[in-house]
Amino acid sequence: MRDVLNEVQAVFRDVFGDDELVIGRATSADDLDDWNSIANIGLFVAIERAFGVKLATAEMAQLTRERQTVGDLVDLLERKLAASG
Amino acid sequence: MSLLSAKFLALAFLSAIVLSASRGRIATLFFLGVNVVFAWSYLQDPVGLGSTLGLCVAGFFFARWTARLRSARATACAVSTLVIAFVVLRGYDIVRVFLPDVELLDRLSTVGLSFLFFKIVHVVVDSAGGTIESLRFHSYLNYCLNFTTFLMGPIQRYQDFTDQWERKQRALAPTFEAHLGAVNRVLRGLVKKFVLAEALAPYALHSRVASGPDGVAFDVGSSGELVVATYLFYFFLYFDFSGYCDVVIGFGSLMGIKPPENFRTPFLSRNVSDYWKRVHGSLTSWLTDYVFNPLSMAAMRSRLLASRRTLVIPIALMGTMFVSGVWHGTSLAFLCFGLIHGVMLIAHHVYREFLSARMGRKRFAAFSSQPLVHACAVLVTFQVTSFAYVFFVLEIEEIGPFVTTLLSLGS
Repeated sequence: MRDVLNEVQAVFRDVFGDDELVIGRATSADDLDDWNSIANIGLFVAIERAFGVKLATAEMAQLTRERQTVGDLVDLLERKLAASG
Repeated sequence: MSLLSAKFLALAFLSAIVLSASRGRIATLFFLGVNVVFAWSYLQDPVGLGSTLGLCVAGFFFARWTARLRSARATACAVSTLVIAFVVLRGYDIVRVFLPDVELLDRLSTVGLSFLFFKIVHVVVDSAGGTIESLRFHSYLNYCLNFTTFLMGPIQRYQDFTDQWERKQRALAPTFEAHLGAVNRVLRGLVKKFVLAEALAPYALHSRVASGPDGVAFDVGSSGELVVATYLFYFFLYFDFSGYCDVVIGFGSLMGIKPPENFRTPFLSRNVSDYWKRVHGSLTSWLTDYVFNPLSMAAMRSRLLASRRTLVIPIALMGTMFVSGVWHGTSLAFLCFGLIHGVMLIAHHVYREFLSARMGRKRFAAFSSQPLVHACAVLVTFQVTSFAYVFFVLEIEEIGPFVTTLLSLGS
């Protein structure tokens, strides 16, 4: 089974240009200074490439809502990967 | 019934009592009745009320349709149809080009339309994307017509509204202090709107301009006075709009359906991007989710821009601010207001990218947080956002005389 959280961390390190960045399920936009709406676009594109999925507008909107965390992103990716087999 | 009139406050007070004491079908029907009475009190015309309700019903069927099909093409078709309906109902000049003599157009409702339109588009897109799992007609109608936010927002999300309505999420802690805090918020909002904003109004830019047969004149004695009047309009708008938001958020909390926050000390904004998070935050969040994100992603996926990725964010920022401008009003000045903010957002993006590339992200972050740099950034942001409001207040033909007056009068 894929370690989605670990793969997401690799994407975050690449997008934020920080090889030592450590994220967990509870990490949110409040924890990273550079995590803004423009960084989100880089993240969405990198996630689509890394996982071979396409994020819908509504899914991106849900992920950027207040109180959303990396855990919500991981759950969404696991659901999408399971659905695509 | 005017915005925050005695009748509005009485209706809100009654709703807070009834809704805090009841839930289920009685509460739903009561709230629907109150919302329709409120809408009628503004529209006072069956055609106006019919066009408002018609748009809501059309949105509901589109949402159901896109949820069933889950196709990007169907969603685009539904949203495009809603955009056309919005343009016709809002009465943009372009409509008169195609329908010059249709009397009915003047009777179609524009009250609360801008906010209603954004709420409906959100429901359609989220239904298509599967993030709204069950859409019930009565909840949807109460969400669309919710009288506390119908006229001027804040723009709540359907999931947030229903979670609170069904008590899956608490709008307010069940304590005396929390309820007292909500009442205090209403009172604070009334003071902001009816004392502070009213006190500033005579001195702010919108009260100092007069257009007559002899042209446009500004009732100021010096350039400095005109500059102060421009700053004061920013403060006036803040107290007026954030005061209104405090009242509806306070009442919404007491009713169990607290709308999202809209303002966070905008005068402390460090840059224009930060400003848009602190001013009308629920609009910014909507524009980010339903204009900026899809535009950016479409551009990123496009082959046309494959070798020009650096253009994606500027194009998306300008597109988003174009929508913001024309959404705020139908005049050319509002379009300019949006485009000016687009240019300022792009300038900040380029500045940030340039310095981050040269200094490295961490050094740039440390540089930006130095007290002097931070203070300068706040000062510059206050200046540019204050002066951008000139396009929000004045008509396009008044901008030239504003600049001339600014330059010709002694300081």
